Amino acid sequence: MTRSVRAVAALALLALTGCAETGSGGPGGGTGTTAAVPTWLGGKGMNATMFSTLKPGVYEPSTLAVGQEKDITLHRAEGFGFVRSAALEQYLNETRARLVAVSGKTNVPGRVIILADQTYGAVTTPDGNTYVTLGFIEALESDDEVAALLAHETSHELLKHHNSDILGDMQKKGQSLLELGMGAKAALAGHGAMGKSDTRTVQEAQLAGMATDKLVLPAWSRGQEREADFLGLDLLVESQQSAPAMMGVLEKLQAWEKASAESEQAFTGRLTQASQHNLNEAADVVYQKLLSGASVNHPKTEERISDTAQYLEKFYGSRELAEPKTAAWKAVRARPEVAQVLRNYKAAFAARRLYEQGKAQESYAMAKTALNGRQLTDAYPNWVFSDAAFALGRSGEGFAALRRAIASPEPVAVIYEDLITRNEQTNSLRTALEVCDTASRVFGGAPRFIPPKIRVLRKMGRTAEAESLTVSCSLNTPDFKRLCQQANQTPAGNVQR
Amino acid sequence: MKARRIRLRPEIAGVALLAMVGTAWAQDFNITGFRTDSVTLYKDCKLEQATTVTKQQFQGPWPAKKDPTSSLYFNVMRDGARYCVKAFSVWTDQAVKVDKDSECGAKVAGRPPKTGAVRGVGEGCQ
Repeated sequence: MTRSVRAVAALALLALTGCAETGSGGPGGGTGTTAAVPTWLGGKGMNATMFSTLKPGVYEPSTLAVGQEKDITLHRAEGFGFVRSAALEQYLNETRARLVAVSGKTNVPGRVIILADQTYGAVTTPDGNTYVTLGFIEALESDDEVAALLAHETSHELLKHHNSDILGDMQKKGQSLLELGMGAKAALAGHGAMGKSDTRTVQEAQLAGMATDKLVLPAWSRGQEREADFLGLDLLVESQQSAPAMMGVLEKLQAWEKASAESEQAFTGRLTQASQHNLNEAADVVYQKLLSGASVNHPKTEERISDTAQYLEKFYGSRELAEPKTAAWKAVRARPEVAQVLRNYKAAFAARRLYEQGKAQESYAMAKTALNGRQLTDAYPNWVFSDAAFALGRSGEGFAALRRAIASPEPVAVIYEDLITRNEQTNSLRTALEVCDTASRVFGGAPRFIPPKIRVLRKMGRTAEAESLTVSCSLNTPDFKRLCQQANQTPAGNVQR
Repeated sequence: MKARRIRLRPEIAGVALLAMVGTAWAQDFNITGFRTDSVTLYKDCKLEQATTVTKQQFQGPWPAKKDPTSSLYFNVMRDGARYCVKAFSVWTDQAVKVDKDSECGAKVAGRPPKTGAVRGVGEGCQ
């Protein structure tokens, strides 16, 4: 068995066993005890509260922080843009502020931003900004559940978990440099391709990189998730919120994961098919599985629930816990402005799903209901409506909606991508290039627009510029390396300036 | 208007009483496992009268219902006695509602790759 095959086999086993090294605490878990966090993952939470390890004082920003506003601009380019609702944002930010206040840390940066996304997700960046999907916000049922979600996210920031990303980042950049160096060496020697030993060196570096990226860092990350659950729980107790709400949020996440997971059978089928195709693709499938945590049988969230319950019992079991409260959250959701946002985006999400299912007529009707009040000028609902309108041949309405979407104060990156593609299709390459540059400017130089620019430059015959951009993309934004390299394979067209 | 007097025969009254008791203890769901290593049973929901059951001793499921006075506890009936358990310490077969529209039936188009350096609760649709 070759090294690559062994690596894929080992990863497949790991994926299918669902990270079995940690104990099962779920229903029918038998005698399994909840997993103590390994010491190498910073398992101090099991001997003392995470809260007791926090030193009060001025918060030191992460070394990976890029600046709060730049961070927001960059994240605007990921996904479908932001949802603006002053009352909702104010509620979320006040809740976060209360949690930060009890932490004892001062000058903690960041704010809460709502993503136009129907899935369940929340992330916190090194700049302290917390991005929460509207889908997740909609699912929260009490003041305490809102606080629990934000307490978990704020804990990542307070515990400086982002600093561990430096390892993966440096390794990826090092790998890109190695590949470029080997390629340059081959070119200087007059060979079109790398020698056997160089190829092996690059493959070994790639495997090491993949191992770090897909195994070490996710494992590290799992330990950090537990720490954030634990500190989040401490913050809830300290701020007089109902601590069991943390389990409530995790239960919702677990239910959503189950509802959205692909079956094990489908996964195995996909893996078999991919491995017949090529090994890298098979490895990719396995990695996606490992990372997704979305398998029905994957114990990740179930373990987190057990661990958090165990932690709550151990450190707060003898305390009188606060009862959950719903009044403030219900009140903010009932405010006309908030209710309208929630209702209209729900309709827009539903319309998008209908469109993806090929039901253009239903999508069109549903999207139309989302376009009222302030959402008449929001980018996402207009974009959804434009797609449905174009699909029905109503291009006038489609273009009008796209114009409203582009003019929205909260731009959405996919709209620019649509425009680039439409211009490429009609061979308006100069306009496509202009849209690439505009999009890059609007979204703070977001790397997402580098691959389409490389593609357009190649079509315009400007291959040297495309090559140079590919090199800089590989070095500076390793996550986009593959996409940039793929774009650089686009057949070169006649030179256009 | 004359009020109509309803007289129940004793056997009917007995059945009705039993039915009422049954209703009072009609289970809402089952406790299917322990999240913590052990779970404390508070007899008659008085916190000073407690017994502890370990994960190994649990032979479920236990019929349970929500405590009428506190959402932090579930009521369970064991050996004819009423107990309270901390709700967070047990697994149940209660369904957790997920908004159908938030399921990932279809892949989200145009979703960019993750750029790293983020920490989150959910991973989103992959």
